[in-house]
Amino acid sequence: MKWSHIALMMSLTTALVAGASAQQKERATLIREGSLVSGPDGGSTQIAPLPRGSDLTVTERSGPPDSQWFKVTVAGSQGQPAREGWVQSPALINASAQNAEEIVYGEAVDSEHEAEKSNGRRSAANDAARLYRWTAETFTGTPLAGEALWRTADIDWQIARARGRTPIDESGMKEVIAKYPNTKWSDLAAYEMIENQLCADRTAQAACAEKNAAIYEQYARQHPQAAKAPEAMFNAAQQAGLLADIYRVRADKDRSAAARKKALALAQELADGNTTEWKTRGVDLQYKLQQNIPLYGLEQEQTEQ
Amino acid sequence: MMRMKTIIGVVGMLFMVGVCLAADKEHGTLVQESPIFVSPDVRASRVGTATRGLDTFLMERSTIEGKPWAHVLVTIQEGLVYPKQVSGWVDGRFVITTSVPNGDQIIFGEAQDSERASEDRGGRKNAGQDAARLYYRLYEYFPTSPLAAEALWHAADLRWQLEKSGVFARPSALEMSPDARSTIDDTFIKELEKKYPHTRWSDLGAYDLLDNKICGRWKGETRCPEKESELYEHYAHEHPQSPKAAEALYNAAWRQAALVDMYKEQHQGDKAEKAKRKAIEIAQEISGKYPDGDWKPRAAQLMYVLQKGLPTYTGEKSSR
Repeated sequence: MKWSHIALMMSLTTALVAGASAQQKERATLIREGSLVSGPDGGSTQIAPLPRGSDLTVTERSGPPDSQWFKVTVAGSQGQPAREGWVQSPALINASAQNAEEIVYGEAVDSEHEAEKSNGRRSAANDAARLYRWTAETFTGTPLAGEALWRTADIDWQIARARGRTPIDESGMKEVIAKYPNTKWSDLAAYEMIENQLCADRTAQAACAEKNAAIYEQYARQHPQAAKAPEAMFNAAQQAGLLADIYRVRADKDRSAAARKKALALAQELADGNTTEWKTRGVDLQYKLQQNIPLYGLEQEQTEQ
Repeated sequence: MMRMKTIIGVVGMLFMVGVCLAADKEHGTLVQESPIFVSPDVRASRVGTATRGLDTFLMERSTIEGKPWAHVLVTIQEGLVYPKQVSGWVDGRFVITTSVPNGDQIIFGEAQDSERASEDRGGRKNAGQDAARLYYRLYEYFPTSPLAAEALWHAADLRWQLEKSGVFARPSALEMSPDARSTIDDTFIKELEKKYPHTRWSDLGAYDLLDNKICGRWKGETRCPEKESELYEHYAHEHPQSPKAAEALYNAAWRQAALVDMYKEQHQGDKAEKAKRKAIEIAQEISGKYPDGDWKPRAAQLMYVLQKGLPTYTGEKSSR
């Protein structure tokens, strides 16, 4: 036997072993609630409920294909140890299943819609975040994975905001930026993170309006292709307009005029754009600035007059 | 003498027509809320408040002590009082008429601003209604503007959604038949379809109209999802270019999937199988026709759920 034949056989054997191992150990998730039980039979004790999007690794299979039991390891979340047990569910989907990426992503979208309903499933937002994360981590680099990772981070951000956590944890957004730099998702993540940098009192403090205007303008300049760039530019123009009003009320004419000039220049950039909403809002803002219509405290001013 | 009188009469008539035409050009609206004063003086008595988007007829403009004023005639409605016409003076800067350069864009921008404010939790009260009025004024007084069709769509849709939230909040919305609840007024949507047929905007309007035809609660009756599936599928095929076409097809497929569960519960295996085939057929149509966005993955998920025999219908339909 030639050495080349031996080498070929060895590599084939290695490939087969690896294949078998890969078939045995495979990433999977659930698109419906399930249960982790102690053994591969109906009478086993329940170890834990398994929500949609649980991160599972299938290590063993038992029984006929139509009612198969899967021995799985469930990844521990937030410092908790991994758990092992059995699952029997047609809702378990393996990473290698046909269209697995689309199916799990579709379930995530469904859960996200459910979360937006007033009478929607209680855990729907967390389900959506888990399902998106599973898609992102299992199919790294695909277009759906980038979108899924961004949506995971966005849902986590919205939940943290609703719970009043400040500053909001940025790790999810930073992960999006690190894994998908210079993409629409990293642009969106960068925009979301602006929230942590803004002044809380945006109405009366000149320093605040000035800082906020600068933050928004910097974003628009650094991310000119971003979907949020026109919105950032509008916010920058509006904050500069507010600043002009604040200085006007304080009778600081020079600073008021400078801020107004800046706001007008930013509004002009928007008016020259081609997004209907932001172009027209730019024209509207420009008109108000040209006519000296106050942007800040207008209703009070009217009443006082 | 007779001839002279005729000439004077004709000239007089032409003059009147000219005045009317000029007057027509001075219709417009306000882009900021303003008190209406009896005279151009902020210390004068107020006769009402002009809100954003009010139908405004500008009679004259004047500047007094450097402040621009506008003498207007507006139709206002406060509380339960019948609409009344009020004339008075408002801040001239707020009045946008057809003669203001970029007037259409200013009104549209202000309408968008109001619409955003209505979506904010702490946004201005009645901002949604302000937005609807502003959009409608744009369409009404700037009919040749490239923004007119979109403005009419936004005006019609805002009115529709406002009325829909009221109609579907009433107990009658829990009844199965759509006839049991009040019909959402479709005047503006019909106007949209008539003025701008076969456009993206009329397609969107036609989708709104389906709200008047869908059931309240299904109450386990298969005829509701059957009828609704048909309605959505019909819409998608009638309006294939509509931004709502994929969503309509998904709604049709989802209702067929729900029928599978309902027929199974009623031990009607044949009908369940037929509904399953139909649901898969529609889901495949979504995958083929609308590969971008969320609808293709949602269709894939629905097909998988059907193939695995997982339930989709859990007792009551989810609202559209």
